[in-house]
Amino acid sequence: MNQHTILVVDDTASILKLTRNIFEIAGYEVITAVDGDLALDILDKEKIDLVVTDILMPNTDGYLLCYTIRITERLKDIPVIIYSATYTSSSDEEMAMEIGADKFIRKPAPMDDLIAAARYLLSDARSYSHKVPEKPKSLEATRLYNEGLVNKLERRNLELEEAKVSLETSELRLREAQTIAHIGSWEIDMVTQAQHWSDELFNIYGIGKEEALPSIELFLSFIHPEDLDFARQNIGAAFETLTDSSFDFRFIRPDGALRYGFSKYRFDFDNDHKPMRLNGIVQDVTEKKMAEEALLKSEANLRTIFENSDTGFVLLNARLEVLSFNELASEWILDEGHMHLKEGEDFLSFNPPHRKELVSKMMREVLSGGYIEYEVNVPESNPLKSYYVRLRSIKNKDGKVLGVCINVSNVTERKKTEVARRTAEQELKDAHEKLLFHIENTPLGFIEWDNGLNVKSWSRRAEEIFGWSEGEFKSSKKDGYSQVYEEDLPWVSKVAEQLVTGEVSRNRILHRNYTRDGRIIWCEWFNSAMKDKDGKVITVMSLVQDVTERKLADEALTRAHERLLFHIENTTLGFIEWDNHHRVKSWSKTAEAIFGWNEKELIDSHKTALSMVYDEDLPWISEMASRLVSGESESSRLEHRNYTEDGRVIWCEWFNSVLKDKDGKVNTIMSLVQNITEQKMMEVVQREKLEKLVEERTRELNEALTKEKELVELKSKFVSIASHEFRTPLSTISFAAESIRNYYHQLSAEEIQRKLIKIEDQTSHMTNLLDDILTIGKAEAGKIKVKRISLDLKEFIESLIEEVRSIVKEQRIIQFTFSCANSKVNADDKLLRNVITNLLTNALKFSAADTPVVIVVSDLIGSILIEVTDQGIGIDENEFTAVFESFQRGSNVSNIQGTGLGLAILKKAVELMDGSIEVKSSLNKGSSFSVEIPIL
Amino acid sequence: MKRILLVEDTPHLSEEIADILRMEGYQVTVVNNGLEALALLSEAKPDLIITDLLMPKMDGYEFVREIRSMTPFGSIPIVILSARTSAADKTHGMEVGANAFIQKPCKAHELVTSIKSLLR
Repeated sequence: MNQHTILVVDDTASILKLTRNIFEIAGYEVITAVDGDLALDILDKEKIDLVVTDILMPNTDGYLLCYTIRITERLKDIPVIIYSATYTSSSDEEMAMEIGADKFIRKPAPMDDLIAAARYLLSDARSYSHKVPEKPKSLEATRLYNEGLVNKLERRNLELEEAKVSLETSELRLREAQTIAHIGSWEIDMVTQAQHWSDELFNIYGIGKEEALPSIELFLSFIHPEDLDFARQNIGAAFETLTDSSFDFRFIRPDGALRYGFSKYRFDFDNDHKPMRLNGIVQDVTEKKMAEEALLKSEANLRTIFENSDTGFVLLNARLEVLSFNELASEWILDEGHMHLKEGEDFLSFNPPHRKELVSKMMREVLSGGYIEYEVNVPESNPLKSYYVRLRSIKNKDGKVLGVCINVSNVTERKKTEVARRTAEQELKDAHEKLLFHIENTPLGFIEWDNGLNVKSWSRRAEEIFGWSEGEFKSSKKDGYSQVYEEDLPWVSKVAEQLVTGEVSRNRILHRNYTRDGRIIWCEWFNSAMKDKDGKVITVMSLVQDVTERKLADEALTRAHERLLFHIENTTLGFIEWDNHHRVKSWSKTAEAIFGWNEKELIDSHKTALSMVYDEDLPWISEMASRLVSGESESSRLEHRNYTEDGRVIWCEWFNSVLKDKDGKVNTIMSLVQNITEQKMMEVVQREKLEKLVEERTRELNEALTKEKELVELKSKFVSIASHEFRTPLSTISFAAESIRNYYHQLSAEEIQRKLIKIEDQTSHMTNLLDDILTIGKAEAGKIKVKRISLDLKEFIESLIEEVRSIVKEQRIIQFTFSCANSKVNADDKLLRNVITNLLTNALKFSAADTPVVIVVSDLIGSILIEVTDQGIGIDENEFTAVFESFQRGSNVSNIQGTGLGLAILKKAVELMDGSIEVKSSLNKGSSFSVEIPIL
Repeated sequence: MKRILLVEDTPHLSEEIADILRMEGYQVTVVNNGLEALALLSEAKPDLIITDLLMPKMDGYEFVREIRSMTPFGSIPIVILSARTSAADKTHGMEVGANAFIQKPCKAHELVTSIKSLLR
């Protein structure tokens, strides 16, 4: 490790630091000094192996330092490298060598050169011995020159530093200024096309400095689409013609805010008039624009108000020149002076000559702080117009008069109204006087009340009606209500209240009042309320009339009339009055109800009584009618047919009577009429009913007769069939008996036995037949009486099943299901036995031995249901009814024995018990009989 | 031996009649009704027929009328043996072609006499 120490001397801090770093990297220890004096001090104290020095330094420069080292015994062999600035000349290098420098290197030198030089010098140091140089003559001069140079340089540095600080300051100020003014600046180097934007420009566009590179395209990208074409054209033209320009535009920030901008730019040219740079600014003028627009709007609003005001305005300055005016004011001047107002001209010039002096005087007064108002009629205008003019001064806040404000109102209408009102007032006054005259002279009492119905005035006639004089009534402190009859008071006070409150302005009421002497009289009141201008009732005026007599007469008449009307309207008789031509004079509601026509249409159409008469009845009715009119008869009672409005024919009963005038001539026929159609109809119906009854009876008799005949036939038929039924078993018995007797020897004992059994069988069959026939006969003759006894149905049926089983020869299955809630029933045991036994024996008889018979007994509401089902030969559907008739058997029974009476008897038994029987069956599948019997 | 065809739907009765006729020396074939009888006619070749009137499927009158319309048996003697007793029935029976009408019940010899006379 070559631990050499190098002393680096340089007055420029940056070079000092750089050089030091270079050597330290190369492994040397480095000590630094900023000038020659300090270097010498270090050399004095430290062991230094190599000195690297600058030339130009204050106090002791590089040359002097080098020379001092060479002439100092202890230091003279230390190698010295002069490391100097580029602007040093070759004479400097000679000078360095002359004073004993080992190496001269120009700044800036590559790092390697410095290190190489240092290594070289340090390696040869021992063998190398420096001779003491002669002090060059030029050294002092050079030192002095150098010192001057250094001083100069330092001054320059200082100046530069100051300039730099000043520049920075101005740049800062510019930035601040740009921020405050919302002005951004930009420039384009026309040679390199490099662009620069100021910070504020980025701010204006609302983007960060780092977000985008400045470019014209970037600028255009912010511009509002509507302004984009204009901006492009403007910029394009500028580049083409190289002329400065400016334009307004709108732009949109990335956050969507719409802003207003103003851009201005200028080209810089070099000496050859080539464009060097394009400088521009962009100002955000949004706030200004907004304020401008608001101002314009507010101005427009004000203008609108000004123009549309119903007051005319003229504003004058202190010189009485017109500043501003509106339409109405213009109209006024036109009416008065026949001239059009103009801004900027002397107001006096618009006035007619004869008024100029007056106006001028008024203006002077106003300008000195006065206020004038006057009304003027413009007689020249047609129709006549009236204006109301006010003049006042306009002052600033210090009270200085700036001009005159004239207000004008068109008061033509108001004037007219005033005139009309005055005329009306006069008329009213006249009318009032007339009214007073009438009041005093009317037969009606006149009373004036206040709004509390206290008497204000009370005429003489009122006194006559009620007995009190005005003074008496007032002093008694009575009010209007106190004289009202108490029964009428509730409604009268209600009506009076409406009047006093102004709800109604007048009314006419009729009610009872008390008089001073306590009588009750009927009064008719005509009341009217007088209101003040606010609509408040101040006076109620009443005209009153004593109508007691009239009222009583009216009432009596009304009652009589009402009674009559009541009778006429409520009688079922129509009331009609005819004249002597049988035309309707009056026609009651009931008459309308009977005939359909109403009174009015009949009177209008002159319809006659005869036109309502049914054609067939007309001849004799005409006769009767003419007898009435001629006076031949005074009354008649007729019953005939009439037409109604809708063309129906009705039966009417008429009671007619005549009224005669004083000469005995018939002038009115009064008729009471009644619709008797229904009665007539009833008669017809009754008659028809009777006829029908007779007819029915006859038919019934005929039917009974037929039935009787049928019954006789049936009986003979029954007898014939019954005899037939007996003949077959009788034949068998007869033949069998004869065989035994006649062919006895030819027969075996067995055969004889068989024939005897056959005889017994047929005999018992015949007995059964006989029993059945007797039963049927009894039943048909109604000789069987139902006798109910209490029995246990389940046990009863079980015993019957056992009985049936014992009769039937083969072993058969009979399934019995009993599902009644209660087994105890009241029933006729004989009939029930007949039914159940019959059903079971039939089922067994007509079904195969290996099939079961099912009997199910269940209860319905109030009845029991017995169903017996077999899987036998069944019954043809067409024979369901026939099988229940006597001697009728199914067509498929073939050899199965039977009387043909079983089901007939069964049915009879069921019917006797008020029950019903139903059969369901299909051939070769089986039958099911259901019997429903009510139980008590 | 003369052959008799007995048409009778009441078994206990037909048995007794057949017994008597057989004991009188006839060969007897019993059938239940007219239809059966017609079916058996060619095979049984009866010399005489005794028939009831009220029978299922085909009654006596119809049966007699049918026989009378058939060529080979048109003239075979027929005795109606019936419980029907009215004169009308009897007339009707003779009209359709029966040779004798005997009422039930009757004596055996009455029937036998009638048969014998017809077969003579």
